[in-house]
Amino acid sequence: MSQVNLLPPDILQGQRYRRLTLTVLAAGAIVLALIVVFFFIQVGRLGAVNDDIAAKEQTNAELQSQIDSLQKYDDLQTQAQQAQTQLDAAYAGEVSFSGMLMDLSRVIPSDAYLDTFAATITGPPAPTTGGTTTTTTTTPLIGTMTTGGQAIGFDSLSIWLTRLELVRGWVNPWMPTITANATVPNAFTFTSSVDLTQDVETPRGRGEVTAGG
Amino acid sequence: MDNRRAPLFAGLAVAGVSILLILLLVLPKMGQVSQAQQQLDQAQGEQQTLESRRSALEDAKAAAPQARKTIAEVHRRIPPTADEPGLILLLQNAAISAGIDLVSLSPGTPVLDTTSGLSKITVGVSATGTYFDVTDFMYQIETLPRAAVVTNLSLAPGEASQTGVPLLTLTATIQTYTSDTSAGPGSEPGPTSGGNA
Repeated sequence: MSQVNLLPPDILQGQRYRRLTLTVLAAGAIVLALIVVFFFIQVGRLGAVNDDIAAKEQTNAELQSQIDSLQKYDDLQTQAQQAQTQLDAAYAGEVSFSGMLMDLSRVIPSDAYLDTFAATITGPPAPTTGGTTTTTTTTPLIGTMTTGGQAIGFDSLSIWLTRLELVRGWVNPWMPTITANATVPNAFTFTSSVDLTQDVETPRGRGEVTAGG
Repeated sequence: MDNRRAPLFAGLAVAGVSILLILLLVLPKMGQVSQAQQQLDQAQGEQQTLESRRSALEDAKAAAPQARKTIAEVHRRIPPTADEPGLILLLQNAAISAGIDLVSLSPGTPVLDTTSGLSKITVGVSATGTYFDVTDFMYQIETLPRAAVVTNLSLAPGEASQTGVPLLTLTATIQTYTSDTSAGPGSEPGPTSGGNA
Protein backbone atom coordinates (compact mmCIF):
# COMPACT_ATOMS: atom_id res chain seq x y z
CA MET A 1 0.00 0.00 0.00
CA SER A 2 1.40 3.38 -0.89
CA GLN A 3 1.21 6.30 1.58
CA VAL A 4 -0.15 9.72 0.56
CA ASN A 5 1.03 12.89 2.35
CA LEU A 6 -1.83 15.25 2.55
CA LEU A 7 0.09 18.06 4.45
CA PRO A 8 0.76 20.99 2.17
CA PRO A 9 4.50 21.44 1.45
CA ASP A 10 4.63 25.08 2.63
CA ILE A 11 3.23 24.15 6.04
CA LEU A 12 5.75 21.34 6.32
CA GLN A 13 8.55 23.72 5.42
CA GLY A 14 7.31 26.24 8.00
CA GLN A 15 7.38 23.56 10.64
CA ARG A 16 10.97 22.74 9.68
CA TYR A 17 12.04 26.38 10.00
CA ARG A 18 10.34 26.70 13.38
CA ARG A 19 12.12 23.59 14.60
CA LEU A 20 15.39 24.91 13.23
CA THR A 21 14.79 28.26 14.91
CA LEU A 22 14.04 26.56 18.21
CA THR A 23 17.15 24.44 17.82
CA VAL A 24 19.28 27.52 17.16
CA LEU A 25 17.72 29.28 20.16
CA ALA A 26 18.28 26.25 22.36
CA ALA A 27 21.93 26.01 21.26
CA GLY A 28 22.30 29.74 21.83
CA ALA A 29 20.84 29.42 25.29
CA ILE A 30 23.34 26.68 26.07
CA VAL A 31 26.19 28.85 24.79
CA LEU A 32 24.96 31.81 26.82
CA ALA A 33 24.59 29.62 29.86
CA LEU A 34 28.15 28.40 29.39
CA ILE A 35 29.35 31.98 29.09
CA VAL A 36 27.52 32.91 32.29
CA VAL A 37 28.90 29.85 34.07
CA PHE A 38 32.39 30.76 32.87
CA PHE A 39 31.83 34.31 34.11
CA PHE A 40 30.86 33.06 37.56
CA ILE A 41 33.87 30.76 37.60
CA GLN A 42 36.00 33.83 36.94
CA VAL A 43 34.21 35.68 39.72
CA GLY A 44 34.96 32.79 42.02
CA ARG A 45 38.61 32.68 40.95
CA LEU A 46 38.94 36.42 41.48
CA GLY A 47 37.55 36.08 44.97
CA ALA A 48 39.90 33.20 45.75
CA VAL A 49 42.91 35.05 44.41
CA ASN A 50 41.97 38.17 46.35
CA ASP A 51 41.66 36.04 49.48
CA ASP A 52 45.11 34.60 48.76
CA ILE A 53 46.50 38.09 48.27
CA ALA A 54 45.01 39.22 51.56
CA ALA A 55 46.49 36.16 53.30
CA LYS A 56 49.90 36.78 51.74
CA GLU A 57 49.83 40.43 52.70
CA GLN A 58 48.94 39.43 56.24
CA THR A 59 51.82 36.93 56.27
CA ASN A 60 54.18 39.51 54.79
CA ALA A 61 53.17 42.05 57.40
CA GLU A 62 53.91 39.52 60.14
CA LEU A 63 57.23 38.67 58.52
CA GLN A 64 58.11 42.35 58.25
CA SER A 65 57.24 42.79 61.91
CA GLN A 66 59.52 39.87 62.83
CA ILE A 67 62.26 41.31 60.65
CA ASP A 68 61.93 44.68 62.34
CA SER A 69 62.28 43.03 65.72
CA LEU A 70 65.34 41.04 64.56
CA GLN A 71 67.03 43.99 62.85
CA LYS A 72 69.07 44.79 65.97
CA TYR A 73 70.92 41.47 65.57
CA ASP A 74 71.88 42.44 62.05
CA ASP A 75 73.22 45.73 63.38
CA LEU A 76 75.09 43.79 66.05
CA GLN A 77 76.58 41.53 63.41
CA THR A 78 77.67 44.56 61.40
CA GLN A 79 79.29 46.07 64.48
CA ALA A 80 81.10 42.81 65.19
CA GLN A 81 82.37 42.65 61.62
CA GLN A 82 83.59 46.24 61.80
CA ALA A 83 85.27 45.53 65.12
CA GLN A 84 86.93 42.42 63.68
CA THR A 85 88.08 44.45 60.68
CA GLN A 86 89.64 47.01 63.02
CA LEU A 87 91.37 44.29 65.00
CA ASP A 88 92.66 42.69 61.82
CA ALA A 89 93.97 46.09 60.73
CA ALA A 90 95.67 46.57 64.10
CA TYR A 91 97.43 43.21 63.95
CA ALA A 92 98.06 43.25 60.20
CA GLY A 93 101.58 42.15 59.44
CA GLU A 94 102.37 41.20 63.03
CA VAL A 95 105.58 39.27 63.45
CA SER A 96 106.46 37.25 66.52
CA PHE A 97 109.74 38.74 67.74
CA SER A 98 109.92 36.24 70.55
CA GLY A 99 109.75 33.48 67.96
CA MET A 100 112.39 35.27 65.91
CA LEU A 101 114.76 35.43 68.87
CA MET A 102 114.10 31.78 69.68
CA ASP A 103 114.84 30.80 66.08
CA LEU A 104 117.99 32.88 66.19
CA SER A 105 119.22 31.09 69.31
CA ARG A 106 118.52 27.74 67.64
CA VAL A 107 120.44 28.38 64.42
CA ILE A 108 123.52 30.13 65.73
CA PRO A 109 126.57 27.85 65.59
CA SER A 110 128.11 26.85 68.89
CA ASP A 111 131.36 28.62 68.08
CA ALA A 112 129.77 31.96 67.28
CA TYR A 113 127.97 34.63 69.19
CA LEU A 114 126.05 37.77 68.37
CA ASP A 115 126.62 41.16 69.92
CA THR A 116 124.16 43.20 67.90
CA PHE A 117 120.73 42.47 66.60
CA ALA A 118 118.20 44.66 64.81
CA ALA A 119 114.96 43.75 63.09
CA THR A 120 112.56 46.09 61.41
CA ILE A 121 109.15 45.28 60.00
CA THR A 122 108.19 47.65 57.23
CA GLY A 123 105.22 45.76 55.85
CA PRO A 124 104.75 44.54 52.31
CA PRO A 125 105.57 46.99 49.52
CA ALA A 126 102.64 48.60 47.74
CA PRO A 127 102.00 46.96 44.37
CA THR A 128 103.55 49.02 41.63
CA THR A 129 101.51 49.49 38.50
CA GLY A 130 103.13 50.49 35.28
CA GLY A 131 100.78 51.05 32.38
CA THR A 132 98.56 48.03 32.03
CA THR A 133 100.88 45.55 33.75
CA THR A 134 101.11 45.00 37.48
CA THR A 135 104.40 43.88 38.97
CA THR A 136 104.10 41.54 41.94
CA THR A 137 106.47 39.17 43.64
CA THR A 138 105.41 35.78 44.90
CA THR A 139 106.96 36.32 48.32
CA PRO A 140 106.82 39.98 49.23
CA LEU A 141 109.46 41.09 51.69
CA ILE A 142 108.12 42.71 54.83
CA GLY A 143 111.26 43.56 56.71
CA THR A 144 114.90 42.88 57.43
CA MET A 145 116.93 41.48 60.25
CA THR A 146 120.58 42.38 60.69
CA THR A 147 122.99 40.85 63.13
CA GLY A 148 126.60 41.32 64.06
CA GLY A 149 128.91 39.08 66.06
CA GLN A 150 132.01 36.97 66.25
CA ALA A 151 132.71 33.47 64.97
CA ILE A 152 135.60 31.07 64.96
CA GLY A 153 136.65 30.10 61.46
CA PHE A 154 135.11 30.46 58.05
CA ASP A 155 133.24 27.17 58.49
CA SER A 156 131.27 28.71 61.30
CA LEU A 157 130.46 31.74 59.19
CA SER A 158 129.30 29.51 56.36
CA ILE A 159 127.19 27.37 58.67
CA TRP A 160 125.63 30.51 60.10
CA LEU A 161 124.59 31.71 56.66
CA THR A 162 123.29 28.29 55.70
CA ARG A 163 121.24 27.92 58.86
CA LEU A 164 119.75 31.39 58.55
CA GLU A 165 118.06 30.33 55.35
CA LEU A 166 116.59 27.22 56.97
CA VAL A 167 114.20 29.28 59.07
CA ARG A 168 110.81 29.69 57.45
CA GLY A 169 110.36 33.22 56.20
CA TRP A 170 114.05 34.13 56.39
CA VAL A 171 115.45 34.62 52.91
CA ASN A 172 118.42 36.20 51.16
CA PRO A 173 120.99 35.72 53.94
CA TRP A 174 123.99 37.93 53.28
CA MET A 175 127.21 38.64 55.08
CA PRO A 176 128.56 41.97 53.83
CA THR A 177 131.52 42.24 56.18
CA ILE A 178 133.93 39.66 57.54
CA THR A 179 136.91 41.01 59.39
CA ALA A 180 139.64 39.07 61.08
CA ASN A 181 139.92 39.69 64.79
CA ALA A 182 143.35 41.12 65.55
CA THR A 183 143.53 39.69 69.04
CA VAL A 184 141.99 36.19 68.71
CA PRO A 185 143.48 33.86 66.10
CA ASN A 186 141.03 32.47 63.52
CA ALA A 187 138.25 34.63 64.94
CA PHE A 188 136.22 36.90 62.70
CA THR A 189 133.90 39.78 63.27
CA PHE A 190 130.95 39.68 60.92
CA THR A 191 127.68 41.33 60.10
CA SER A 192 124.84 39.53 58.38
CA SER A 193 121.38 40.25 57.21
CA VAL A 194 118.29 38.35 56.10
CA ASP A 195 115.14 39.54 54.44
CA LEU A 196 111.86 38.60 56.07
CA THR A 197 108.93 37.38 54.01
CA GLN A 198 105.25 37.19 54.90
CA ASP A 199 105.86 33.64 56.11
CA VAL A 200 107.15 35.06 59.38
CA GLU A 201 103.83 36.73 60.08
CA THR A 202 101.72 35.27 62.84
CA PRO A 203 98.29 33.80 61.97
CA ARG A 204 96.87 36.87 63.70
CA GLY A 205 99.01 39.08 61.48
CA ARG A 206 97.61 37.32 58.44
CA GLY A 207 94.05 37.91 59.64
CA GLU A 208 93.40 34.20 60.21
CA VAL A 209 92.34 34.54 63.83
CA THR A 210 88.98 35.95 64.85
CA ALA A 211 88.38 37.73 68.12
CA GLY A 212 86.26 35.98 70.70
CA GLY A 213 86.58 32.66 68.97
CA MET B 1 9.70 34.59 3.98
CA ASP B 2 9.94 35.47 7.73
CA ASN B 3 10.00 31.84 8.71
CA ARG B 4 12.93 31.19 6.46
CA ARG B 5 15.04 33.89 8.04
CA ALA B 6 14.02 33.24 11.64
CA PRO B 7 16.83 30.71 12.33
CA LEU B 8 19.34 33.14 10.86
CA PHE B 9 18.06 36.00 13.02
CA ALA B 10 18.00 33.74 16.05
CA GLY B 11 21.57 32.71 15.38
CA LEU B 12 22.68 36.27 14.88
CA ALA B 13 20.90 37.36 18.04
CA VAL B 14 22.50 34.59 20.07
CA ALA B 15 25.93 35.42 18.62
CA GLY B 16 25.43 39.11 19.34
CA VAL B 17 24.38 38.51 22.91
CA SER B 18 27.23 36.07 23.38
CA ILE B 19 29.75 38.58 22.06
CA LEU B 20 28.32 41.28 24.25
CA LEU B 21 28.48 39.05 27.30
CA ILE B 22 32.05 38.08 26.53
CA LEU B 23 33.13 41.65 25.88
CA LEU B 24 31.29 43.27 28.76
CA LEU B 25 31.45 40.61 31.44
CA VAL B 26 33.86 37.77 30.81
CA LEU B 27 36.90 39.56 29.38
CA PRO B 28 36.99 42.34 32.04
CA LYS B 29 36.62 39.73 34.74
CA MET B 30 39.39 37.63 33.23
CA GLY B 31 41.55 40.77 33.14
CA GLN B 32 40.84 41.35 36.81
CA VAL B 33 41.73 37.76 37.59
CA SER B 34 44.97 38.07 35.64
CA GLN B 35 45.85 41.30 37.42
CA ALA B 36 45.04 39.77 40.80
CA GLN B 37 47.16 36.76 39.92
CA GLN B 38 50.08 39.05 39.18
CA GLN B 39 49.57 40.75 42.53
CA LEU B 40 49.51 37.33 44.17
CA ASP B 41 52.73 36.33 42.41
CA GLN B 42 54.29 39.58 43.52
CA ALA B 43 53.14 38.98 47.10
CA GLN B 44 54.55 35.46 46.96
CA GLY B 45 57.87 36.77 45.69
CA GLU B 46 57.89 39.35 48.44
CA GLN B 47 57.11 36.64 50.97
CA GLN B 48 60.06 34.56 49.79
CA THR B 49 62.32 37.58 50.05
CA LEU B 50 61.07 38.36 53.53
CA GLU B 51 61.43 34.73 54.65
CA SER B 52 64.97 34.66 53.34
CA ARG B 53 65.71 37.91 55.15
CA ARG B 54 64.13 36.60 58.36
CA SER B 55 66.18 33.42 58.07
CA ALA B 56 69.36 35.47 57.75
CA LEU B 57 68.37 37.56 60.73
CA GLU B 58 67.62 34.45 62.78
CA ASP B 59 71.11 33.24 61.95
CA ALA B 60 72.39 36.63 63.09
CA LYS B 61 70.37 36.22 66.30
CA ALA B 62 71.90 32.79 66.86
CA ALA B 63 75.34 34.31 66.32
CA ALA B 64 74.61 37.27 68.60
CA PRO B 65 76.44 35.88 71.65
CA GLN B 66 79.54 35.34 69.52
CA ALA B 67 79.17 38.82 68.02
CA ARG B 68 78.92 40.38 71.50
CA LYS B 69 81.96 38.40 72.54
CA THR B 70 83.87 39.63 69.50
CA ILE B 71 82.91 43.24 70.16
CA ALA B 72 83.88 42.96 73.83
CA GLU B 73 87.18 41.31 72.92
CA VAL B 74 87.97 43.98 70.32
CA HIS B 75 87.07 46.75 72.78
CA ARG B 76 89.40 45.13 75.29
CA ARG B 77 92.22 44.95 72.77
CA ILE B 78 91.48 48.32 71.19
CA PRO B 79 90.08 50.46 74.01
CA PRO B 80 87.80 53.42 73.26
CA THR B 81 90.30 55.79 74.88
CA ALA B 82 94.07 55.94 74.72
CA ASP B 83 94.26 54.89 78.40
CA GLU B 84 97.92 55.71 78.78
CA PRO B 85 98.00 54.78 82.51
CA GLY B 86 96.72 51.31 81.67
CA LEU B 87 99.22 51.00 78.82
CA ILE B 88 102.15 51.95 81.06
CA LEU B 89 101.05 49.42 83.67
CA LEU B 90 100.68 46.69 81.07
CA LEU B 91 104.20 47.29 79.80
CA GLN B 92 105.58 47.48 83.33
CA ASN B 93 103.87 44.21 84.26
CA ALA B 94 105.22 42.58 81.12
CA ALA B 95 108.73 43.73 82.03
CA ILE B 96 108.38 42.46 85.60
CA SER B 97 107.02 39.15 84.39
CA ALA B 98 109.92 38.77 81.94
CA GLY B 99 112.51 39.89 84.47
CA ILE B 100 113.89 42.84 82.56
CA ASP B 101 114.43 46.37 83.79
CA LEU B 102 112.60 49.09 81.92
CA VAL B 103 114.89 52.03 81.34
CA SER B 104 112.57 54.30 79.41
CA LEU B 105 109.13 54.41 77.90
CA SER B 106 108.20 57.04 75.37
CA PRO B 107 104.57 56.84 74.27
CA GLY B 108 104.05 59.01 71.22
CA THR B 109 101.04 61.17 70.53
CA PRO B 110 98.22 59.11 69.02
CA VAL B 111 97.98 59.51 65.28
CA LEU B 112 94.77 58.74 63.43
CA ASP B 113 95.08 56.19 60.66
CA THR B 114 92.26 57.07 58.30
CA THR B 115 92.42 53.68 56.60
CA SER B 116 91.64 51.64 59.67
CA GLY B 117 89.85 54.39 61.61
CA LEU B 118 92.12 53.73 64.58
CA SER B 119 94.52 56.01 66.37
CA LYS B 120 97.98 54.51 66.50
CA ILE B 121 100.12 55.03 69.58
CA THR B 122 103.79 54.36 68.99
CA VAL B 123 105.65 53.50 72.16
CA GLY B 124 109.42 53.49 72.28
CA VAL B 125 110.75 51.08 74.89
CA SER B 126 114.25 50.81 76.23
CA ALA B 127 115.21 48.10 78.70
CA THR B 128 118.02 45.84 79.83
CA GLY B 129 118.00 42.10 80.36
CA THR B 130 119.47 38.82 79.29
CA TYR B 131 118.78 37.39 75.87
CA PHE B 132 116.10 35.03 77.10
CA ASP B 133 114.57 37.70 79.34
CA VAL B 134 114.27 39.87 76.25
CA THR B 135 112.71 36.95 74.39
CA ASP B 136 110.24 36.49 77.21
CA PHE B 137 109.48 40.22 77.22
CA MET B 138 108.68 40.07 73.53
CA TYR B 139 106.36 37.14 74.23
CA GLN B 140 104.67 39.10 77.01
CA ILE B 141 104.13 42.00 74.62
CA GLU B 142 102.67 39.69 71.99
CA THR B 143 100.21 38.23 74.48
CA LEU B 144 99.13 41.48 76.12
CA PRO B 145 95.37 41.85 76.59
CA ARG B 146 95.68 45.04 74.58
CA ALA B 147 96.67 44.96 70.90
CA ALA B 148 100.37 45.63 70.69
CA VAL B 149 102.57 44.96 67.70
CA VAL B 150 106.35 45.19 67.79
CA THR B 151 107.67 46.72 64.59
CA ASN B 152 111.27 47.29 65.48
CA LEU B 153 113.68 45.62 67.84
CA SER B 154 117.38 46.12 68.32
CA LEU B 155 119.74 44.60 70.82
CA ALA B 156 123.17 45.79 71.79
CA PRO B 157 125.67 44.59 74.37
CA GLY B 158 125.20 46.05 77.84
CA GLU B 159 126.92 45.67 81.12
CA ALA B 160 127.28 42.30 82.72
CA SER B 161 124.92 41.52 85.56
CA GLN B 162 126.03 40.89 89.14
CA THR B 163 125.95 37.16 88.39
CA GLY B 164 128.20 37.64 85.39
CA VAL B 165 125.50 36.99 82.78
CA PRO B 166 125.87 39.45 79.91
CA LEU B 167 123.04 41.91 79.71
CA LEU B 168 121.61 43.32 76.53
CA THR B 169 120.23 46.74 75.94
CA LEU B 170 116.91 46.46 74.19
CA THR B 171 115.34 49.17 72.10
CA ALA B 172 111.93 48.41 70.65
CA THR B 173 109.09 50.18 68.97
CA ILE B 174 105.63 48.99 69.86
CA GLN B 175 102.41 50.00 68.16
CA THR B 176 99.25 50.10 70.22
CA TYR B 177 95.84 51.32 69.23
CA THR B 178 92.72 53.07 70.40
CA SER B 179 89.41 53.47 68.62
CA ASP B 180 89.36 57.07 69.88
CA THR B 181 89.84 59.02 66.68
CA SER B 182 90.76 62.14 68.62
CA ALA B 183 93.18 61.10 71.33
CA GLY B 184 96.17 62.58 73.05
CA PRO B 185 97.17 66.11 74.03
CA GLY B 186 95.00 68.80 72.48
CA SER B 187 92.28 66.38 71.43
CA GLU B 188 88.65 66.31 72.35
CA PRO B 189 88.43 64.64 75.78
CA GLY B 190 86.71 61.27 76.05
CA PRO B 191 86.10 58.62 73.44
CA THR B 192 85.30 59.73 69.94
CA SER B 193 84.92 57.41 67.05
CA GLY B 194 83.90 57.00 63.49
CA GLY B 195 80.63 55.42 64.59
CA ASN B 196 81.36 52.00 65.87
CA ALA B 197 83.28 52.38 69.09
